[in-house]
Amino acid sequence: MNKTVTMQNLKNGLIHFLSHTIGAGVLVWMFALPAQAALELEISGGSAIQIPIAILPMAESGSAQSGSRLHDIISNDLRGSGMFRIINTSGMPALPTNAAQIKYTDWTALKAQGLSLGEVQQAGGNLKVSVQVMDVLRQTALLQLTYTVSPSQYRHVAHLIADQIYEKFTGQPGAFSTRIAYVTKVGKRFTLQIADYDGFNAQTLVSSNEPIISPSWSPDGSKMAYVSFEKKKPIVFVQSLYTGERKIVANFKGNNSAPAWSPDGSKLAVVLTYGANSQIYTISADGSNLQQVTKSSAIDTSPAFSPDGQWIYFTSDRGGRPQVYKVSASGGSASRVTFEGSYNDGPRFSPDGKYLTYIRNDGGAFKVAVQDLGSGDVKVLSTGSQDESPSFAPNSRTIMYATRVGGKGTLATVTVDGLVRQRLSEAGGDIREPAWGPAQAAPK
Amino acid sequence: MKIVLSPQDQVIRKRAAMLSVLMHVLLFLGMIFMVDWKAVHVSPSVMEATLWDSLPSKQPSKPATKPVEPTPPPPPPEPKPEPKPPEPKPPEKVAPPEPQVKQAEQEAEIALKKREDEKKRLLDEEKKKELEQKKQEEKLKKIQEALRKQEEEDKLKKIQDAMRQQDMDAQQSAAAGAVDPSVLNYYMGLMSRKIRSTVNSGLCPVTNPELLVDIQMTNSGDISGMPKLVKGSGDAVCDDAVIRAILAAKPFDMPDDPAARKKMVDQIRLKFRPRS
Repeated sequence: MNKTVTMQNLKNGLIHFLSHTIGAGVLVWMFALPAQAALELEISGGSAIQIPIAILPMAESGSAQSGSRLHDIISNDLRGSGMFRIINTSGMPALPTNAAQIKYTDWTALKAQGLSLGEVQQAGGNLKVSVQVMDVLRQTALLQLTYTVSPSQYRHVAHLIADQIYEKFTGQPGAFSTRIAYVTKVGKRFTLQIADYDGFNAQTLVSSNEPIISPSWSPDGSKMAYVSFEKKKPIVFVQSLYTGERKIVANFKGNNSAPAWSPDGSKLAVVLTYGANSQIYTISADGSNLQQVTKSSAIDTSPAFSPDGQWIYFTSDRGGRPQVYKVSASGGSASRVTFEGSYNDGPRFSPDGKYLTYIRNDGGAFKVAVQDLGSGDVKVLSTGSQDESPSFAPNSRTIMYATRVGGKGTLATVTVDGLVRQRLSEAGGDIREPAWGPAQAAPK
Repeated sequence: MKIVLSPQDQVIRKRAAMLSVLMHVLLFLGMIFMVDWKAVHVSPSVMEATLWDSLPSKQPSKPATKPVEPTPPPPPPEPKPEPKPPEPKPPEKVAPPEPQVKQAEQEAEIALKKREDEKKRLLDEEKKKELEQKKQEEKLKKIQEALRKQEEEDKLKKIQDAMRQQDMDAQQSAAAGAVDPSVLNYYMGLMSRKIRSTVNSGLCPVTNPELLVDIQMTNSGDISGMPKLVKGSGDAVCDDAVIRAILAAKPFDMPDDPAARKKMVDQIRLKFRPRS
């Protein structure tokens, strides 16, 4: 009996122990369960370089068209910048002309991130251009633009719209409404022309039967300095873009060439053979106050002010071969800047001061190179063999240069990352010596 | 054949009978004691036995005019000693027994026998009762044991059910929460690659700032609501480019495995280093 009771007690005890232990265990397990951290995903780098955007044809009324369709101009601008991929909309059955008609799923299916649409109306003798730019992913309006312009400014409006779109997506100002200067040679006639950045709307600034070279924009875009051989020797001129008035700035003994404006527009760096060999000088914009900057037995040429105005970068063969050096704008000893390659010539700064571009002899071919002044990395950007005169866009994203195609000079652009190249214009004979104007270029 | 006893023999026989009765009484008392002793130690129930010479006369109880004080129950009547048989007179002389004496003796013998039988019957009855009580107790014990067993089994069953439920819950939660890391890694890798392919790192500062963005996935691989910028780069264009990249990358491939899918439907924190 006692034995039975003892066993029973043991059994009961075991059951109680088990029930309590298991109960407690379940509680612990339940409380231990929920605290699990959310997933974390680390993403390093990014391989996208272009923003997909659809630029839809605009509804146009009356005789609003002026030879080229507005959306084509905008598309070309954005595509040429290298920052955008223009989505082909030709397969779309019906294109919206206002925001209410947009079926966003159609555009997300095409991977569009942006969508531009609008209309052009005739308002009296002017054109009223209304554009909406939509954020397809968020389904919100990014831009609402309205311009009223004369028909002759049709392209300019398109460039302005492209600038706005570019800035909205990249945070950097666009450079599509800026202007360029370049020299053409047709027959024996040399012409200094000013045009839209894409080569359209070219206007002649000066023309001569003698060579014209080295156009240089004043920082405010109101004047142009250049070298003309019209007096049978190279002389530096400065010409107003408003009045056409021009003035000789450097006409010293020997050669006067390669003018480059200081950032404040008060003076120019020029190359003179005034003493003996080519040396760098500075001279006031009115032709006074000549100062020698470099004093060497070598050839020093192609000067360019740094954006802060403190330094003048130039080409010198003082090391035996043409290389880029820098010297204080007030003179002094020069120090070498380029070390890669046997030939680096014609330095030009990016307006943001981050890059330096020049022509590099790359295996016997002269190509546009860009040097990151922060890291020192150099990248060859162009693919031609006789590329020359590189010049940065005001937003520092694109470089324009002259290249030769089929024995003729033409203009081309390349993005600073080297990913997008574009040839601007085939028309108008032999084109060379391009110079990209500042953001605040002279009015047309 | 009838045996005729001498008076001497009769006296001896009477004594023997009395001794026998005495022994039975003692034996009976001993048994009562034993039963009582056993009852005390084995069972709370007490067996009481009372021997009556004659049934008490039933007297009608008088109607009580006032509440009667409760009186303690009368103690169990002590078993009365057997009435002593009449002292045998010393035989004066041996004489042949009288037929009347013989008859009295026979009657006494019969009475004695009857009493013995009665005692035996009572004893048997008592034994029977005791046996029956024992049986009842055992039966009760068995029932109690069965009940306790049932209760324990129920308890055990409950615990087993709880454990089984716990196992099932664990399996379910395993199905819902415990994720095969390789599956999850695979799909998270796909997500990472897809987002990476849409991130335009050129729009972010070269200082390579870190951005933290929370997204809430849906079962279909879409993003619920808008990505939440938890920590920006300090550059609005970069922040916007990263958010746009996330939105442009959706929808994402989702695992078929429910646990991994459930895990991915949880909030995901994206940690960006766009310039790496």
